[in-house]
Amino acid sequence: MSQKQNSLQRMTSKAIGKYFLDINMFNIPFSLVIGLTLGVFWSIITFSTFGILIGYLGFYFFKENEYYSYYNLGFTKSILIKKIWLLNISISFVVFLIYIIIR
Amino acid sequence: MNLLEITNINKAYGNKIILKNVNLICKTGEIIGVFGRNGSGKSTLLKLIFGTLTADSILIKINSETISQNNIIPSKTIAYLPQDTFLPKEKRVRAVIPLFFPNGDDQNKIFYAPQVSNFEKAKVGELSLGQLRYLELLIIGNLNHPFLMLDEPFSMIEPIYKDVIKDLLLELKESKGIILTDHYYNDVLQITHKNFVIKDGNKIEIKNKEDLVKYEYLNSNE
Repeated sequence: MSQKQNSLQRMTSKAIGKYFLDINMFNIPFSLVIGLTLGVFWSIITFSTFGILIGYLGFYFFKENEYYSYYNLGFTKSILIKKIWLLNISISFVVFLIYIIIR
Repeated sequence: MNLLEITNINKAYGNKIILKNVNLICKTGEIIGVFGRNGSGKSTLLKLIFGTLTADSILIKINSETISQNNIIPSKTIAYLPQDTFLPKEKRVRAVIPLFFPNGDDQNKIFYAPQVSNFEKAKVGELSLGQLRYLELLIIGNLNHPFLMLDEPFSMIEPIYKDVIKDLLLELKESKGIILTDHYYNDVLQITHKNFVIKDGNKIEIKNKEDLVKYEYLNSNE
């Protein structure tokens, strides 16, 4: 892999990592509340579905202008949301497997 | 040299026409100033070009290749400085820079730029307006994008940073084309090559401060 590609990949990882944390900063507490009221299964489902919408709205209301950081790095909102959705689906799948095993 | 051609820009909100068949060309080495009263469509123009606002009609060409509004951001051809800060306020300056520049050499261009050592340990939210604007310009200016759209780079900036920012923009224009809008017309006129006023949705080219009076952007006693 060339140095340029490597650099681009690290930039992508850092940017997506930050957006992942920012979105899930709102998503995780919401998913935990769902977990406490409806159970672990629904908490896991929420984390990769409706919780992302809550995270998106939280980011929109409190940090909207930070989107311009991502725009300047070449990421549109739809690219960001798709990546976060894929990451959260993967995490939910792993957590769900662990939940099934220890249950 | 890179060439940005924007033609047939039209934008209206309901019955209110903001921009009426505006055309604009910007090439590497140029700084273009855009003036206009509040609500005249200056920021709208920049957002339409950057693709964060949908135009009623627009044709964008970069180096003669047509590019849709939706593809401007992924193409990384235009960087944009919004009016309000886009950097995370809770992070320290030294932590923000690697978000944009993972490569150490690129980071050093920012860290060793004039004045940056004075505030690199501070949190973004603790910076003065001048420091913040300068940092933002350094960041987007050092990205590889060939064009910059700057929305009010001089607004509310302390004089010392105005000069630093002007020097930076003059340096950046050697490798980029820049379109900027600001009410601080004296600062803008000092560094621009071409200027125009947006009035009643039309783009009117101006040569000097007298033209700003003529087209009612300034009062005659200013």
